[in-house]
Formats: sequence, structure tokens, C-alpha cells
Amino acid sequence: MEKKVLFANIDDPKQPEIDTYISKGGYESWKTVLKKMKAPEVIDTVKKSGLRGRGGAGFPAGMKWSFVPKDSPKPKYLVCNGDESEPGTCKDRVLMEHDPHLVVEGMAIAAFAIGASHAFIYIRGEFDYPACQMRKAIDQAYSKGFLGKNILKSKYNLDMVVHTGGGAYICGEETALLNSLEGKPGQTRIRPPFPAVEGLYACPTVVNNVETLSNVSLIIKNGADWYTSMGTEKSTGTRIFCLSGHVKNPGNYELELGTPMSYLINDLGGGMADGRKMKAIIPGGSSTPILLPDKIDTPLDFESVAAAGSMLGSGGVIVMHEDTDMVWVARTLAHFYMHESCGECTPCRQGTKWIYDTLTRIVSGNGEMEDIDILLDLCDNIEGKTICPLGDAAVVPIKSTILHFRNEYEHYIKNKKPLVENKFMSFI
Amino acid sequence: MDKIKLTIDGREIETVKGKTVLEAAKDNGIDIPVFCYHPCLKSIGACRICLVEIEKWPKLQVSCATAATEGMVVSTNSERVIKARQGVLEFILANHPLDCPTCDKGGECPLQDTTFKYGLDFSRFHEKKRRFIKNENSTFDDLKIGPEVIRNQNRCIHCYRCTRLVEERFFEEDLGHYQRGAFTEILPPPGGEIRNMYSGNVVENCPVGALTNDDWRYKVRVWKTTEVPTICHYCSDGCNLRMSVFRNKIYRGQSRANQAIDEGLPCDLGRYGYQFVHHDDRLTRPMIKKNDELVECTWNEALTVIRTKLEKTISNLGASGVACLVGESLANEDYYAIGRFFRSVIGTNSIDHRIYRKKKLSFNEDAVSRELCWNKLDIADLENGRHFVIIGGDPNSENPITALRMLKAKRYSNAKITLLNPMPTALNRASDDEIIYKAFSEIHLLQGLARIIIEKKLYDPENKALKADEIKAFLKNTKEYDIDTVSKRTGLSPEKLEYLAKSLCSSKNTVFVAGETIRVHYQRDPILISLYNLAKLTGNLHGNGAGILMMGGESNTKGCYYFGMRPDRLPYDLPIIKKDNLKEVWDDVSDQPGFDTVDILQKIAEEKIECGFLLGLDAVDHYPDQEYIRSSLSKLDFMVVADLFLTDTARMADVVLPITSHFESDGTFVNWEGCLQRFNRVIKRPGDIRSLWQICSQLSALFDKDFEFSTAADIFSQYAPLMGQSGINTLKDIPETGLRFNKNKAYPVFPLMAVEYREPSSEDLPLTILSGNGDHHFGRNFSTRCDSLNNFLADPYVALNPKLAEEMTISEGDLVKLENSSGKIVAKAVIWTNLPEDVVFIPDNFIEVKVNCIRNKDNDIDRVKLVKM
Repeated sequence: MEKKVLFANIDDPKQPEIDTYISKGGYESWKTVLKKMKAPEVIDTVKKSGLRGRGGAGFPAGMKWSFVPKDSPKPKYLVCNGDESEPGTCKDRVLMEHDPHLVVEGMAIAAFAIGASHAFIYIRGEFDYPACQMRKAIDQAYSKGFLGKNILKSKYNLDMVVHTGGGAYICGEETALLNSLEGKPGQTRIRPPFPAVEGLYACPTVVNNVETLSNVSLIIKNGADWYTSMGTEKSTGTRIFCLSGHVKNPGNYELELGTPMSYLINDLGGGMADGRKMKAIIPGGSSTPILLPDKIDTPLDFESVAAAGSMLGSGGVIVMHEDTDMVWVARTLAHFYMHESCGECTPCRQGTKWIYDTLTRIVSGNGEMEDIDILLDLCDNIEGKTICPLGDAAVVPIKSTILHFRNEYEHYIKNKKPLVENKFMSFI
Repeated sequence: MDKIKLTIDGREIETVKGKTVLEAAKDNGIDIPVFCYHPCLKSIGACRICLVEIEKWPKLQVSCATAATEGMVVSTNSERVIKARQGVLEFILANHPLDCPTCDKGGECPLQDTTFKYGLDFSRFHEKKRRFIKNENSTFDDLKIGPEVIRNQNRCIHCYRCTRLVEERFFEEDLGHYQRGAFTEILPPPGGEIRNMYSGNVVENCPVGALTNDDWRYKVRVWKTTEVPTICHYCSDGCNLRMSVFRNKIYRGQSRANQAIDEGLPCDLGRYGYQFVHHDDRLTRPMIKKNDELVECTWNEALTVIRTKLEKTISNLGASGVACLVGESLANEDYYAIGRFFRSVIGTNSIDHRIYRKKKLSFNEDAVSRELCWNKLDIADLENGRHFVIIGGDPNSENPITALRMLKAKRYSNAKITLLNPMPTALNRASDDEIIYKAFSEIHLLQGLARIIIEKKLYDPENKALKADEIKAFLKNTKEYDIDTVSKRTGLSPEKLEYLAKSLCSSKNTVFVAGETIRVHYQRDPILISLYNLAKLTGNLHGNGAGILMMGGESNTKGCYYFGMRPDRLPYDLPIIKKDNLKEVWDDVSDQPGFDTVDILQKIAEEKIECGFLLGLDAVDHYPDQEYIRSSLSKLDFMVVADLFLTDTARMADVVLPITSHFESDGTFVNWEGCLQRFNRVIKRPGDIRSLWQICSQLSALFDKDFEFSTAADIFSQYAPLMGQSGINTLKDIPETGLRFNKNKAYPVFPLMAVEYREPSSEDLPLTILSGNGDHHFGRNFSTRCDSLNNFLADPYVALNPKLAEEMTISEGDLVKLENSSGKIVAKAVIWTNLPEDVVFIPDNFIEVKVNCIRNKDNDIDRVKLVKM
């Protein structure tokens, strides 16, 4: 059911002001942590809460923090990933714009937990307003003594910096983000070493998504049990879903994990727009496989969506109606991945361009029947052979459109025109 | 080292822990194709061609970045691997233009080879190939991105070796990648070009023809050439090179990786610096002076004249009337033959190579340079250094490959680099501290630092090598070097000096490096002793990656020393009194030490020497007082010059003998480490020229002495027993990686020694001259006769401080005159923002501007005044 936890105060226009935030119990968790808790306790609480990463992969946050070596003489860093760029996803932006202190407090607690005295928030270049809001919030937190030297008379120091990127999808990948943060081109690093061991400036680093960190202060405030009481056994808590596409009421909705997708689309989203039938759903941002309408009752949690043949990803639910040209969808997404490929490793750099070129040829009426199998084989040659998941993501729309809508490709090639006439894609 | 076992393709192989799967496979002869992997770089796993299948790992892994572990089972040729590899190759070739017939890389192209071996013979790519058009008028889309580098982006396969080399190993910023995805371009920064000292490496290490050399392209196909191994003859690093030869012409120089020295990354001097051998001005026939004019003659004529004159001199003045000065880039075989001829046939010991000396050294030079500064470290040891303190030198231009090792230690082990120099140097791009002291205040600086270390008790009290009484004595004897005086003399604040002293004591494994400025300094030995004191105080005298280094010099400066080119030394560093060791081979040698350079010039002026030989040396342009050496040499009754070109010295000679360059003969060099390396004849000699050893042997035949050698190899066999290296009897016995002398020699420890600063004599003029190598040049003999190197810097200049330039209303490019009582030089002005106000820098490489015209042998420091033209 819709459950406003992160979004509890999202509609209050004064929420970005620190006084409002404090008056609603803000920074209490931060005080508790500094005065009463030790770092391992914080990590334990977050581990117990079962909080999983909201960026896409769903890796348990507490576990990630515990990978940071305790005995390393190097400084440690916390990086908040605000490079939200997955097509169909726009949740972090809302949090940064309308409740920036929630992010700041979560970052502070996480930095304390891993022993970092520097925390960075990396925000994509196009997010000018969210970056302003975050900067303002950080300044206010400094002035109230929640950041800086000897915070709240403790021995703990923490500096927080906003860093805006140049606007690259790849910088949402943590190692590319770290390179970009260091001032290098946004290209990924090979792992191992993992960032928890050698991250920013070759020091132990934890990279967490904005939404993940926003949960942290609430977990500390209300306890791990409160958090596990929401959601399913393995997917605890709530999650913000970004509903877009051909529905009546697109928008961000916070739901308990495990809520059926039909509730999101039909009850909150108001069902299909213009009274047309549903053709396909992308459940977790453009990098996740397409589901057909028969899967609409799938509960929205990591396990169930995986069992249905897709991924919960970043929570960007995209709904398409019956007149959507799926080849055109594939081509649009192929263009996105080609444009965003960083150019470091061969299969992604060359493969995404090749796929886009071929799809362009098909939609312009010059396709050949063997192109479809070549496309599938190219996907196979990219998938699992690249440094980072961008290559894997890029083949997903191609593979799943061919899997479910091969007839549309064949129609294009045979008749030099689409099976359905509507090329208009409202969501991209 | 821990040994581990793993299985690759069903073969159980043993390797060392820490190696990657790729390295383990390569060591055992299992081929895995690579593009982005380079042994000198960290693996980034970008090209994905080296994917292998590892049991229990779900995904294929890049072998270049996967560590080999015990019990690992790897397959390099399973069905999955073959499909993935063909897929990657297909992707790489998709946008590659396949213009192999016009591409210079064709024939030695890793992409070609890998495609032949692993690729498919067809392509499924029917789209339009990506094309970067930079030049509408050219079919080839070439873009000149540096003086010697041309880029064709269409061919690029984005392995990023070039940009990684430049950034990771060279610490330069003149090449990067722009845009992204398939449209990523390799480019210098906007408005810049790739012109670093190592720029040629990006061409050689490009796995396709995307980066090519202006020098080499479109001249000859690679399969037409033969590759001959040789050694670089510029600086004293001794890089291993291979030259591509076609029809007796050298077309290019490439690396021949010697892990102990160059690691396969030689600098541009070695790569492009061969071009002088084919220069039109090469002398090809002997010349003899008739009626004040040099005319060509036969060898017979020339040698007979030399014999007659030598006999006449000996009957007039005795053998001491003959003297010989040699250059520092001849082969050891030449030195041996020269020594044998002059010492045992003529009977004179007046042989010297130290032409840069103005005055005799007050100190017993041998005691210092042999015992204190005998380099105990070699280039590879520098990797273990954690702090490099470089004083009075620019390793980037004097010893580029040694500099590269220091940079390597910085990159991978976070070593510190501190530069102490009278002017900024190119290595400051990577240095932690760059400290500019007032020129010629080294003694104050070093002795002052030693005092601060003692006074502030910064040294390690546990250090047993430091005795309390020597510290006490040192403090007592250096009273006048208190911090205020030192601060005033060096121009550095007391805080800075203290900071520096602390920094010297804060790190272990410190290497103190003295550069060329120190080598030719009027107080060289006191400075070296001060460095010795510092090394002792900081506990860095011995140890792996700690010690004192003396660099600089030319390709075989060390060889001059080893092979007896000093008045008091016989080959292999034998003092003259031990001449009996040579008895079996040589005739008797006089036990009277001969004269050194300073004395020889003096004796010539006094007419005690009337027959002079200048072999492989342009003394007139090298000696730091042109007027004096000209007047001195003109007093010689008979002067013989052997050189490749008609130099200023050769013009004064009575007989000029054309000699071979090291490309035209076999031989050996000794680099600064003391590593003896062999080079082979690369091309046949042009015209009628001979090697110096040949000339000496033929001359001795005229004196009825038979040297019993007819090749360079014979000479080596003759002197090899003297070296006392077991198993080394012929040239062929020299190991591939060179023969290291004295590596395990024991060194005595001296107490701390106080040295005294001697006020230099100089003219009372405002500007001090500093000189060194210009960009991409080295010495005066060869580099300015190479077109490719001239593409980097073709004209001499005088560098000025901007304030000085403003005062005198000089702008960049104006002609300026530097003059003092010795003479004047005129050159174009350039303005360097961080050059100190009281110095001018002049590159000492160009024939047009002779810096020694404004030097005077009676002054320790040469000062000038600047006049705008």
C-alpha cells in the first residue's frame, strides 16, 4: 500500500529549511548516533533493518559498509550517488529538492558508521536545482553545528561537499563516478579492487544511492524492527516508484515493497490513458527486461520481479500502450546507450553503435531478415563481456523486444513500415 | 616468493603469486591475444580480447587483470572463449578502416596478426564505418598532433595505451581522450601538441596505425627492413635500441626492452637521434692541410704524415711532447686502442677526457668520486627509492630514462621527489617540492641542512654509523654555516630550510642525485661530500633504494674512466703504478702520470707539447673558454682531429681523420650505472672512413708494433681478462642485459666532513649564465644534425625572467646580446615566468650559438650583461 515514510514531509514547502526539518524531529538520529552509539552498532542496526541499495542492484547497505577495512591507515570516504540518470527514474531528484536534510543526515550517519571524515555527494550536471538545495542544506547543517569540526562536542569531524558531474549516465556506475569525482574522465575501473578497499583516491570508499541513505536516519530513529515490519521478508521497507508512460497519473509513489504492480498502475496511476490497452511494462528503469501485461499482478519486491523475469532496478516503472512501436522503442533506447557508452571497453563501445545503426537501418526500411539474428548475436557478444553493467543494460531492451515482439521486427523488414503507426514515445 | 600452481588449457603450470593469468600463460608459452595490456602499465581490461574462462567463475574474465591463484583451472580456447574473442575482434574491426595496404603499421600490426590468428575471415558489419574527418582535402584523415606524431583516428581501437603511457608513466598531460563512446578521440589538449621527451613511445606502442611517426611513415615497408640491436649514444643511461635498416640506411629507432634499464620506453633522442649518420656533412675521406687549406687525401698519406710528425716531436721534446684529448661518446674499444697506442707505442700518459674542467681540482678527486660517489644503485634499484632529492640537475633532459624510474616509483609507490635547483626544471611536473636556490650556493644549502638536522636532532639517534664525536666536530667546523647565513646565501627562508631538513629525515630510502650542474661545478667535490654527509645523517648511505648518485655525462663517460682515458689510469681502472698487469699484452708504459686537460692546454701554450690529438671531440666548442682554447691549440705544431663532421676544431687541424659513428662499428659502452653493454654494427660505413681503434692499430703498425687485433671483438678479447669477470672472454659473452661492474664492491664509511665554501671568481656583471640541454637535444655533436629532433626545437635562444625582460623592453623573439670581457653571443629571447631574475638560461646544443664564447677559464662563474639589439 502507499506508505509515506521518505515522502512523509515531501509536500511541505518549508521542509528544505533546517528549522522545519528539526521541528519535525530531524537530526535527532544524528545526535543519538554521536552521543550514544558506536560505529559497529550503527552498521548492525542497518544490517538488521535489511536495507538494500536503491540504485539498481539491491545490494544490502549494511553489508557494503562492513566491507570497509577497519585497520586501514588511509582516510575513508563516503560518496552519495546522486547521478540519477536511468531513463524512467526521477526519485532521488525529488528527495534532494524537497527533503535535502534527510539526505544530509543519512550521509552523516553513514560516514560515521564507516569512519569517514569526508563525505561527497555527486550530483549529475543537469540537476542544477537539486544541487543548489543540497548546497544550501549542507551550509545550514554546518551553521547549526551538525557538520564540521567536533560535531556536537564529540570528537568526530565531518566535511560534506557537493560535486556536480558533467552529465553522464556512466557516472552513476560507482567506479566511473569515483574517477569523475577525482577529475578524470568518467570511465569505469576494473574490479577488484572494489571501492570499499580502493575507491576514491585509492582509499576505502562507500558509494550509496540518495534514496538508500535517506532511509538511514529513519532506521536509526525508529529501529530496525520498525523497518523490517514494512515490505517483505527479503525486501524490507518502502520504495519510491517512478511511474511513467501511458498512464493517467504518472508520478512518484512511495509503496511498501511487495505491493502488487497493478495497485501502482491502476489504483495510483489511474490506469491506462486514453482508454487504450496495455502492451508492455518496464518495471525498473530502461535497463530491466520488459514484462507483458499478464505479469501486472507481480508484487514489487526484488525477488518477485526477478521471478517474473525482470528486475526491480531503480524503480522506474514505464508503461506502454498497444500502439507503441516496439522497434522504435528499442532504437530509442539503443541510441541512449550508444550515446552514454563511455568508450572504454570494446564490446559496449562498438556494439552499442552497431546495434543502433542496424536498428536505424531497419526502421528506415532497409532491414534484412538476418539482421534480427545478428542483433541477438551481437547482444550475446556484449552481455557479460564488458567492464561495467552498461553493456549488459544496453542489450536488455533489444533482447526483450525481440523476445516478445519479434513479429514487429519482421513486419518492419518485410513491409518497410511499422506494425503500429504511433511512434510517439511520451516518456523518452 | 610464493609459488602457486594452476592449470591452463589442461597444462599444469607453476607461477609466482601476484602474477596475472595472462603473465602466467605468457611465461609458459601459451598465447593469449592482447591490445590494451602493456607490461609497463596497470591493466584496465578495456579491449576484452584476452577474455578467458575460469572454472567456477560465471563470467568470462580478462586474463590481464585477473590474479592467478592456486588451483585455478583456466581455459583459453574453450568454445565460449573463442566465440567471445571472435566477437570482440569483430567489434574492433567493425569501424576499423582496414586500409592495411597504405598503413605503415602493416606487417607489424598486432591487430593484423591477431585477426589472422583468431579472427573470422568475413564481417557481418554492413553499416557505414565511423569516420573522423579533420582534413577535407586529404583521403587519409591524418592530423598532425605533435612535431613527430601523426594521428589517424579512424584506425584507433581505443586501447588507451598512448594516453595511459603519457599520464601514468610520463606524468605529462599532452595527450588525452575527448568525446565518448565510439566517438572517443585521442588528442592533445586544445591548442597543444604532444611533444614530451618520450612522445615516440606512443607511436611504437600503438597496436594499430592510429599514431604514426612523421619520420618513418610512407618510406619503407616494415618487411623490407632488418632490425639491428644497438645502444643509444646520447645520455649516460644506455637505452637498448633496435634500428630498422633497409639498403644500408637507417629508417627509425625503436625500443629493445631491457628491464634493468629502459623497460622498453626509450626517450625521443634514441628514437630520432640516429639521423646524423646520414647527414650530408659527414666526412668521408681524410684531409690534410696544404697552404692553410684542408684538402682530401688518402689514408696512407695522412697516416704517414702523422708518423713523421710524431717522430719529429719525440726527437725534439720526447714522448711528453705528445698529448691526446678524447670525447666521451667513443666506444671502449677505441679507448683501449687509443690508450695502448699513446702509452705503449708513443710513451706518453697525457690522455684526458675531462674537457669541461676550467681549473685543476683542489681536492684529491679520486678519493671523492671513487669512494663516495661510486654509484651503488642502478636504474632498476631506483624503484625501491621512496624519496628522490635531486640537486643541480634536470634528469628529464640529462638522463631521461633514470627520470622515468623515479617517476615510476612515484606513481606506484608514492615516492617523493624534491628538486633543488638554481632554476625550474621539467621534472617539476611531478615533484612534491621544487626549491629554487640562488645559483652556486649549493655548499651553503647542503651544509646548512646538515647543521639543521643535527641541531634540531632530526637524525635517528639509533643510527650506529653516526658517532657523537664526529657530529660534534662537524658542528664545530661548520660554525659559519648557521641558519641565517645559509638563508641569506641561498635565498631560502629559515622556515623553508627547516621544512626541507625535516622532509629529508621524514622518509626512508632516500636517493640523493647530483646532476650535470654539479658534475661540472667548480666545487664539485665539496658538494659531493656535503651530499655524503646528508646521506649519512639521514641514514641513507647504504641499502636497497638509498644512496648517492652522480648522473650526467655522455654515453660513455664512465667508459673513459674504466678504459684508461685519464693521465693516471690504465684500462679497467688500474692505477698507472700497476702497469705490470698489462705486461703480457702491452709494451712498457711510463710510470710517470701524464698531464690532464688543464695542464695539457697550459703546456701547449708553454710549447712543451707540440703534437696534439683531439679524438672524437670538438674541443673548441666544448671547452669552457673558447678564446683560450683557440689560442692554445693554434700554438700546436701539429694537430690531428678525428671526427664525423668538419667541426670548428677540425678546421684548425693539420690532419682530419673521418671516423665511424657507433652505428658503423661493433663495440661496447658503459652507462652511468657501470653497466657494460654491447652494440652491433648497424650499417656499413659510408665512403672511406675508419674506426678510431683501426686508426690506432694502423698507426702502431707504422711504428712496427702489432696490436694483434683486426676487429672490435678482438680488442674485447684482449682486454676481457683484465676485467676479471669470470666467463667473459669475448664480445658474445656479454649478457643481453649488460655486464654490471662493481655491483657488490664494499665501500668504506667516512666520518662527517666539513667542507669549505670558496668564493667564486667572476666578473662584476648582473647575470649568471646557466646552460643545459634544450628540449629534445643533447650535447653538441649529434642531436642538432637530426631533422626530427630539430622539429621539436630548431633555434637557439636565451631564456630571461619576465621582470628583466620588461625592464629592458624585450619581448619574446627579440634578438638579445649577452656580453662580457670574453666575448659575446646573440640569440633570440624567450621569457620564462619562473626563472630567477639574476640568471639567464642558454641551451648549449646549437652550433650557431657558442656558449663557451662568453666563458672564461679564469672565472669560476661566468657572468654577463644583457643588451637589447
